[in-house]
Amino acid sequence: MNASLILPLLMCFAGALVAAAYGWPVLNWRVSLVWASRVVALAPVVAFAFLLDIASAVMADKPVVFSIAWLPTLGLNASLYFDGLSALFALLITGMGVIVVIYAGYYFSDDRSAWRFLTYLMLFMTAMLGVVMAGDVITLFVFWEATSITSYLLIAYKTTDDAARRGALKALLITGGGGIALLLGLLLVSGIAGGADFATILNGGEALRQSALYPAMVLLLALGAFTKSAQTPFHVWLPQAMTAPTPASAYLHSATMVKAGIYLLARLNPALGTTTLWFWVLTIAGLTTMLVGAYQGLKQNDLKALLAYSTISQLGVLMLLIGEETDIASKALVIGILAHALYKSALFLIVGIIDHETGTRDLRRLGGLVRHFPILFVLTGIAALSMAGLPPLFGFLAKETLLATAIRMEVGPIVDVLFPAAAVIAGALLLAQAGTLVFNTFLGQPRDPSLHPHKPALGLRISPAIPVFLSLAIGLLPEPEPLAQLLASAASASFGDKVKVSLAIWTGINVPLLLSLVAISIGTVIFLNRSRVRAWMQNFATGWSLDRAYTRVMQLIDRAANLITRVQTGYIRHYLFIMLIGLGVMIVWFRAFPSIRAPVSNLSLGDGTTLLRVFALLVTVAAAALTIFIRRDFLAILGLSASGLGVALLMILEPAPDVALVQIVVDILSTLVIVLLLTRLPAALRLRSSNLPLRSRRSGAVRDALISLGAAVVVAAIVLTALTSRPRQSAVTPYYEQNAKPLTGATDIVGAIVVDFRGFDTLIEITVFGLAGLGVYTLLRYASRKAGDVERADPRRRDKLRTLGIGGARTSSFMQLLAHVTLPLSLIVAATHMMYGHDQPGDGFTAGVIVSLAVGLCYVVFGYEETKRRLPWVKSGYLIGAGVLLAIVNASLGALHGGAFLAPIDFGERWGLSLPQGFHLSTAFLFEMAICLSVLGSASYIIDTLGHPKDHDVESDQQLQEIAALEKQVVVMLDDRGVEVT
Amino acid sequence: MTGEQLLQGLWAILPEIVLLLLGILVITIDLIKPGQRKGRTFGALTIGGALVTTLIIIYQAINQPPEPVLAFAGMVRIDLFVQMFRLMFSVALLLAALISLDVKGVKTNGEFYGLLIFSTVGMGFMAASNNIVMLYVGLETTSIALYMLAGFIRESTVSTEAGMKYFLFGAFTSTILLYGLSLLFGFTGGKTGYAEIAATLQQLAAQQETLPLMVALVLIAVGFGFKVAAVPFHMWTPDVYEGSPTPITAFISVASKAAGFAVFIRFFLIVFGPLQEQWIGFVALLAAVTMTLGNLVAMQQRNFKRMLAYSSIAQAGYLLIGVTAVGELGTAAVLFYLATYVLTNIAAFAVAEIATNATGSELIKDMAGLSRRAPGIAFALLAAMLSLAGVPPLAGFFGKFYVFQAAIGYTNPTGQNSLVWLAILGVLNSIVALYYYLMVLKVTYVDRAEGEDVPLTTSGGFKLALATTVAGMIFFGIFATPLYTLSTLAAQAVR
Repeated sequence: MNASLILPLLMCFAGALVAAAYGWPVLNWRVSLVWASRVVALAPVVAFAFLLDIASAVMADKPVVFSIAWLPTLGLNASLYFDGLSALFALLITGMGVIVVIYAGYYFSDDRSAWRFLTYLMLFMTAMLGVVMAGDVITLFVFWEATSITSYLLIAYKTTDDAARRGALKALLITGGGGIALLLGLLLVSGIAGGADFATILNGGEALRQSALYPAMVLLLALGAFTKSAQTPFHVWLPQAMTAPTPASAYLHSATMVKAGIYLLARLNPALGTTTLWFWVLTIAGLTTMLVGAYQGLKQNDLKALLAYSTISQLGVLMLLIGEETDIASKALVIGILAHALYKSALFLIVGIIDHETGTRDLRRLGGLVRHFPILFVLTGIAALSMAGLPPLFGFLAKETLLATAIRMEVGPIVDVLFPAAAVIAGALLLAQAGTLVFNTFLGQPRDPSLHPHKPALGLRISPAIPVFLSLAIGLLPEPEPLAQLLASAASASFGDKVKVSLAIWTGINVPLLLSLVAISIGTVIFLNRSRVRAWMQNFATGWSLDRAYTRVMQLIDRAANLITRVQTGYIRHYLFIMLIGLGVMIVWFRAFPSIRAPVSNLSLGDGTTLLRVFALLVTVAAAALTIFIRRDFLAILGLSASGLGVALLMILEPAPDVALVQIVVDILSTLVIVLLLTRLPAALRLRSSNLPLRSRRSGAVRDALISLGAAVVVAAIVLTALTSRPRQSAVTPYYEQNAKPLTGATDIVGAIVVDFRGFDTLIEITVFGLAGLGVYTLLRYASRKAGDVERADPRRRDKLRTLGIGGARTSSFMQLLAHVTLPLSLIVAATHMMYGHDQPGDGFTAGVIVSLAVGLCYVVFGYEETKRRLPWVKSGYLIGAGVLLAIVNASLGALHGGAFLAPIDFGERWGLSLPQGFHLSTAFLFEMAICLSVLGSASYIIDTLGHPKDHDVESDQQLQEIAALEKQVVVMLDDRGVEVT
Repeated sequence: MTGEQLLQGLWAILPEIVLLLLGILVITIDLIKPGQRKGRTFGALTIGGALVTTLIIIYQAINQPPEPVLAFAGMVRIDLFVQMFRLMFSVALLLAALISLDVKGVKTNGEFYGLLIFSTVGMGFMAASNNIVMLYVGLETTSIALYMLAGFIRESTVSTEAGMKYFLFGAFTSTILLYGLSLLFGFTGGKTGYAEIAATLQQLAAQQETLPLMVALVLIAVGFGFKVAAVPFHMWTPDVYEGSPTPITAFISVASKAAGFAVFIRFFLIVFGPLQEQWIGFVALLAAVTMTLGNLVAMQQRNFKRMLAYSSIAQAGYLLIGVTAVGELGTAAVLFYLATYVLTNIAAFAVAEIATNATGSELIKDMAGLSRRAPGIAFALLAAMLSLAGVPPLAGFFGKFYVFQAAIGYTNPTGQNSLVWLAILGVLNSIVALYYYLMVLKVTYVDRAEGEDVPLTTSGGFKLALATTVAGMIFFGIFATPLYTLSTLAAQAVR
């Protein structure tokens, strides 16, 4: 039998499929919606009958459980759970479902696209049934969210109606958002109870209540339940959701969905309840909601809004009842749920008929409808009596038990009085609402003569009659035994212990009855003066409403978001700035600075070279500062170069002559490259930028200075940390010191590392360097040639070029002489670097760069064409190729003769050649040569590309124009600060 | 290195080798084939190659020995954790290639697919790296290819801008990362392997000498924070997401983020494991700030791609919760989340591209009426948005579920749970996020637009990608177990 629990869910889902199938045009045009809805309604009928059948089995308080493994790794099952409480809700859902589906068939009878509505409705029914039959909190949550989504579809059904869309979105936001809070609450509950299924949770009450997270749990669960069950202040979505078609309102917003929160809290009450926190959270929310709903309801003109607020009020009552820990409260709870579902759905259905037949549901236009709808009037009257809590209706019983609960409170003197008082006031207001509903709609004179009511179909009229009849029957019949048992079983489930439920209306003269009489009297007085009271209410405090508060909250979030969004300026400098601030905050967070203080003394400063070091530092810093303050770009570049030379000086003092040498030649080479690049920029652009003011605003300069300072401090801190925290003894240096000579035959450790220890790296490195040269060539020359740019200089200028330096500048004969001499000299220096690199500073790399520098000088002095003519042997591509090839061949020689790729071999020794002192004809020498060749090739490629004359640059002209346009704007902006200038 | 070791190493990195060869093949064909006959060759090659790679990874994962395979002298480490990430990368590559097939400016370009493949290779090495040098090489291989891809459409100024910004920001953070790595190298006396560094840190932590290490940690966190787009290293995200060609945006938002999390988890759990007590609060703060800011700003966006950018920042925040909840549960949650996120976000961006193609606008409001023009595509969007919002029964729900559960289940060494606040903040954030995800759905499903009865035609690539992702989202939303089991096994393999 347990597995069959899934049947009602499947039935309802099948109903949804049938409804969707009706959307198929063939069926849609042949069968009327009324008939279709009857077929669809079979699904809940079967489900209802089945549930009724198994409900009798669970009366004995033995829940039926069915579960299948779902996520075994988490010990999670998809499970169903069926006891008295589930039975009460499930029967309501399917029972009301039948009525609503059939009603919807008539309601939409002339709208053939309403199959969508039926589909959504059945999907919702499935989801809702899932909520109340879920056997564990995760399954419950899944169905819970499904009700939010399907109800969204139902509320937004009238897509053309803007109000419907806004109402639907609001409903989804509030209930869906609450749902996520609920998820966390449920996760906490199942985590602490040790399982997600209800059996475990209900047994783990003790652990749950004593957990430190209990308050968080209660608040999160309450948030989920309150949003779903429209408790103040989250009730704002419910009146707006009334834009849904009436069948949906009747079903979702009175009988079923809004009670999901009630169900959840009632279900968890035995585990979480009986604490003060639980009591106060639920009581305060319930009490406020009860009063707010009752008050707001009376002033509404829209019949559906009136019913919505009275529903809110009733939901507040139910919430309040869960918070109490008496058996009579849980009795009042189950009776209240049933009574409310019966009369409220009936009233909604009736309002739907009125709306359908007259075209309005505005109290200011309706009136005197008794002439047109006599039967409807009788039904409304009975349902309203139940709503007002008058005998002999079921609603009376609900109110009596509520009042009986209220007077049993034992909390404190004020609260003890407050409860019954609030209950009486709410009761009185509800009675007035019910009276207004009946009298202003059906009696009196028609207020709007333009209304011409139609006669409703029989099916429409029968639908509300069923719940009304049930309301009346339960009140009049003496003790319907099975129902009392069902209610008792449900009440026990929510109370956690046995509860006896008696459905006798008359219990003798007692306090609740007297209070009831007071409520009825006050209510009657309000009802008789309803026009005045309502007019006063509608004018009272109109400027303040929770709806506005909702809008405010939304606006506030919006504004906060807007504020943060402004940070996203689109400027990369701002982005980096924010990132650096983040970095700074993180460093402060870890208080990483104090660690620097102590070991600073470890740094040795005092030896003979200190003065020189200070000098080198000053040169470096001063030259770097000059690059900022000097206007002329050329001089700034020289400053940059000088700064680099200062660093080289520091390295010499370290002493690290190899590194210093590389630093020097690379520094000069990069200076040369930048100078060559400058000649490619249009003179106008350069002139302009050297005339620009340093900073248009002082604040900007200060800001930049602060950023620089900050960056300097951070970097200095990091460097200091690094210097003082590293191991005193390097792990690698001693190894190289010991093994350089015996293994490679080199006395210069750097040389040994480059060509031997890390020889493979070097091999790849020269390839990369070669590629870099090719890349520069490809980007600047090859691409522009492909794009069809002018390749050759103007033929008329060709002759002149022979005597002019780069960029067309005139060069002195002294410079030309210098260039003539430098090149051969550089070749000699390069040769010595290669030959003795193994034992002295300098290596193939420096050799290559030195030769390229000399070549570069030729370009500068003689110009492009002349240099090409004079130095035909500088064929960059071949040089790179030769270098890389030589390196590979050389390395392979090692593999052939020395046993390993790149193994060192001294050919001079092997063949007994007599060579100059200190020079070894070895693989190391060949490797240095290979490095030199490829470096020379690559560097000369770059110089050649940059030195290539360019007559006219379209791009930079365009850029100049853009800048000119921008500058105009800047002027306007600056003027804006003082006087408005357009 | 013996021949056997070499073979074992090559087998271990076979997926990367296959992809590398594929990339070279694509670029070579691009060079030699005449322009007009290229067509969809490269897309088809990429898709086929990605499929083969996926199969290889699955085969390797099934035959994964229980002990991690250390190859190339410990430079790379292959375990289930790595295999799962590789799987995400190759699936992301597959889907990104699928949705590139009909994107103007990239569809027939061999370079585009080549770079896409190369960046995937880099990601594979990022995830597999077991050495800080390898890590950096992998990271740069990934990033440089992505910089170029972001700025791929040279005719478009936004694309160029995106590429430039991505490059500048990336170069900056990568420098900082490198600084951190070299400090770590120095502090540990020249160690580069994760295990060796961790062992040294263990000793240092025992001697209470951790403060200078924290500088290294912070600098490294900046580099990783950039990759996963965590606040405040997220600033590049919206501009790059908006400007890049949409398939690349999708790829960056899932694969690159996943790769970032792969190294984030490995590094913080293994290398910085001994410093756990010090960094946990800091990463928690990072998570909190990231998701809050991402969500708040996402609400303000009118441009769909920008909104998704901020949403992806927020998602990084949720994922960081899982990282903060150190341990098997947290890591498994992150892995599961990422796997579903790959499917979800690619679907969302695919729809963005389709809508932009149809309307010529990237604004959310111009997506009105999509549900009537193309019900199937609108449904894919619905699934993606709800999955991102964490609504059941879609895969994203379980992602959030596991992450929050990990935070709730986390206990620090003193036996207390210090992360419930983070979970609660995560929930509040998810509520805010619901707002903007639903707004998109409201526009597409409810709002009316002119010309909404004109059906929208989509090409096969998009359809296939959307069908796959939506099927995945729904399947893993109902049957989360297989994926979660894999995630748990992978999480166990981290240590």
